[in-house]
Amino acid sequence: MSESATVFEGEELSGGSTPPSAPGEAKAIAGKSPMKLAMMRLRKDKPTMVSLTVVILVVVAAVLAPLLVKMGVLDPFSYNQNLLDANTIPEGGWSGASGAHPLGVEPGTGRDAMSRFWYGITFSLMIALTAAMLSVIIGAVVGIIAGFSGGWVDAILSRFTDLTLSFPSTLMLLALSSLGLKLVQQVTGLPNGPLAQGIYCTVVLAIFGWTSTARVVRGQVLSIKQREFVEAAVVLGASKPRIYFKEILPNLWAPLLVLVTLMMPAYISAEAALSYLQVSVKPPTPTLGNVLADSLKYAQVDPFYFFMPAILIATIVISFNLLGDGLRDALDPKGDR
Amino acid sequence: MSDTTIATAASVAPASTETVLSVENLKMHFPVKGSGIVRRTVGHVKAVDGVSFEVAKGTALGLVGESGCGKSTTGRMVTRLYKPTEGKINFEGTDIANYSGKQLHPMRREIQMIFQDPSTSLNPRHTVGSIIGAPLRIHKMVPKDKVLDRVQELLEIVGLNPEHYNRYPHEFSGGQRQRIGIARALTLQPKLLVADEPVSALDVSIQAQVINLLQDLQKEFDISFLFIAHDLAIVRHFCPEIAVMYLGKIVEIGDRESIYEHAHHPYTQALLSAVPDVKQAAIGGRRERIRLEGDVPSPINPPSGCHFRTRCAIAKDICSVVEPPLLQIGKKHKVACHFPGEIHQHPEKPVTAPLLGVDEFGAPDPGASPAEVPGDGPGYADTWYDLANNSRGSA
Ligand SMILES: Nc1ncnc2c1ncn2[C@@H]1O[C@H](COP(=O)(O)OP(=O)(O)OP(=O)(O)O)[C@@H](O)[C@H]1O
Ligand code: SF4
Ligand SMILES: [Mg+2]
Repeated sequence: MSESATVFEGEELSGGSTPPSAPGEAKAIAGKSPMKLAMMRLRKDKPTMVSLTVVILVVVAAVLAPLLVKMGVLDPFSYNQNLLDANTIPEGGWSGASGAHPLGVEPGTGRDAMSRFWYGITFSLMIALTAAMLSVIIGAVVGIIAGFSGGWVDAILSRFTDLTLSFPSTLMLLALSSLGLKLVQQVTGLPNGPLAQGIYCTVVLAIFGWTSTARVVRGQVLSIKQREFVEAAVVLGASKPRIYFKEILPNLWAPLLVLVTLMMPAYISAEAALSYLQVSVKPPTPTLGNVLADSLKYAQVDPFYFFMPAILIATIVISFNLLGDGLRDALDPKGDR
Repeated sequence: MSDTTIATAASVAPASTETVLSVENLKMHFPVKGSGIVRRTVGHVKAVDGVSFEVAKGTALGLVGESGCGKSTTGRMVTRLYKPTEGKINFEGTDIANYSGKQLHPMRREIQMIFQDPSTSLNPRHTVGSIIGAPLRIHKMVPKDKVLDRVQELLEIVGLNPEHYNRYPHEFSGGQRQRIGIARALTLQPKLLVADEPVSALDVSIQAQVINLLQDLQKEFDISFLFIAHDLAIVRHFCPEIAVMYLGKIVEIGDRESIYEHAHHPYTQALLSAVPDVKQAAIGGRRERIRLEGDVPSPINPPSGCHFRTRCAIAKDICSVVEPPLLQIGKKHKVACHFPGEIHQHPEKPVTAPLLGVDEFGAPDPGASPAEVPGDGPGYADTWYDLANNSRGSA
């Protein structure tokens, strides 16, 4: 024992056979969990930090909007015909921007532009976020079960995933929208309104959107399963649930987080497209898709109003994308060692 | 009296040591699935194809062979990570080969495993304390508030700082991580440890320390080892008995002296020629380097007859026709070769042919009377086949 104990000191000093990290660095990261390490890496990554800030701002804005509407600070619904000229174009440049209407008013109706954009974020973000979480939950459950059970369970679930993926989802969504909406109303008891419409859109996005997650998670589980710590747990006599929840799941949080973040921009765009096609939340309730649809009519006469929703959507989508990429790099398990 | 007659000699004193593990005719055939929607089984990887051996209490059996010859698969069957296709795994007299998950649970405490790669055998999301403490929680061995005490004790036993229980695996070096893996295996105070190449992933400078640690632990806790390695140098000092595997079969097994000083199988001799031999160097001798040509053939389609024949320098006709049985040729020495002999002293005629009832080319010999081949099965018989006078010998 003494021999191994003495040489062990040398091992400690030299940092043993740990690959790249220098001894000094090893000291600095002592006692840090893999999550903390990822956070440290994230903090050094400027573009990701900027996109994270934007995302936080967008989320805060989305949460505040309904409150501000209730308090009367934002008013996305009242018509202000008095601010429009004979051709129903806002008077003055910049869509008629003023102290009362910082981003001007909407051509045709005179509704406050900022209120409509801002309040629009709330619906779109809620739909995208809920759909993304639902997709990831469904996908994770399918992927974990498929990856872990293997055999015929895996075969059936994988076929099912492929089948779902090959479904013409947009077409279905359009064709079945009135039927689906009625179904949602029946199940939830909600009146036909933005809430029921939003739920329909969310559910449909989730039902068709979980496949990519299922595939990624299945692959991850297969690769984690190969790692010897799972076998070690089996040899120790760990139960199946213990292996699922204590050994495998903790290694899936990081990829799942990245998946949700990367799914957000796709769903925000998808929701915008669906609103534009009148299958999501319908006007007069603003969503990013609805305000975009409204703006397209005024491309020539009111360029400022035309560009604003496009820029807003682009900013949100790009920020989520950058954040997802940054998270993926920071959480990359290869970076753990 | 023909020279193949096997005399029934008086039995020698029975083995003095108690057997912990006795493995009999163990086989693992992995199905190979075809592609396509209905994934039919199109063949089998015969990763392990009938091995038998024993591990005595408090000692170590070394399992040696090139990559892909089925060592890990054997170890994984013993720890019951795999359910054997066929065969028996007698652990302390009970056959656990077909035990279900529930029946296995109490056995898990007795048989533990040390893995090859400490960078994947420790969950990166768990602290060292929770890794080493997990077995205690799974088997509810100690009250919850005592787990930490035991964890710190174990850390100290394997030569790590007991205050580091809060750290994560990535904060340790390779050698230290392997010590964590060893501590985890020790937690349940097992009787048998399967060590699957426990030092192969480590720096050469650290290998000796980890082996020393294992040796100390073996003495201290009276643990039996199935020690897997891919060369004969590493197991030399650790294992009093060594089994050499090739393509799913044991080709030679024996005590340290039989294997290192009197190897009779050409494959063992080739492996040995790669071992730097201190003793030989000291007396000015030098082992001739025998190069093994080519790769290990695929275990899906192993060569007919002797699996080693495609790479064997002394192979003859019979080798491709008849599989050589594992023949006991000494008190503690068995070899599976038609021409067993020390290097450059292999016999001209297949010694096994008369035993098997075939002629020297492997064709059935109507005149011969096949005899029972001493050596099949785990452990050693009291009598054996004496190569010197082609008759039954004994101690
Ligand atoms: N789960 C499996 N399914 C199919 N084939 C397998 C499986 N596990 C191992 N094999 C095959 O069985 C053979 C023996 O593998 P095994 O891992 O036991 O070899 P090994 O002696 O431990 O080699 P190494 O020194 O590389 O670890 C190999 O050909 C391998 O490809
Ligand atoms: S049986 Fe033949 S091929 Fe096999 S090891 Fe002996 S001599 Fe070589
Ligand atoms: Mg192996």
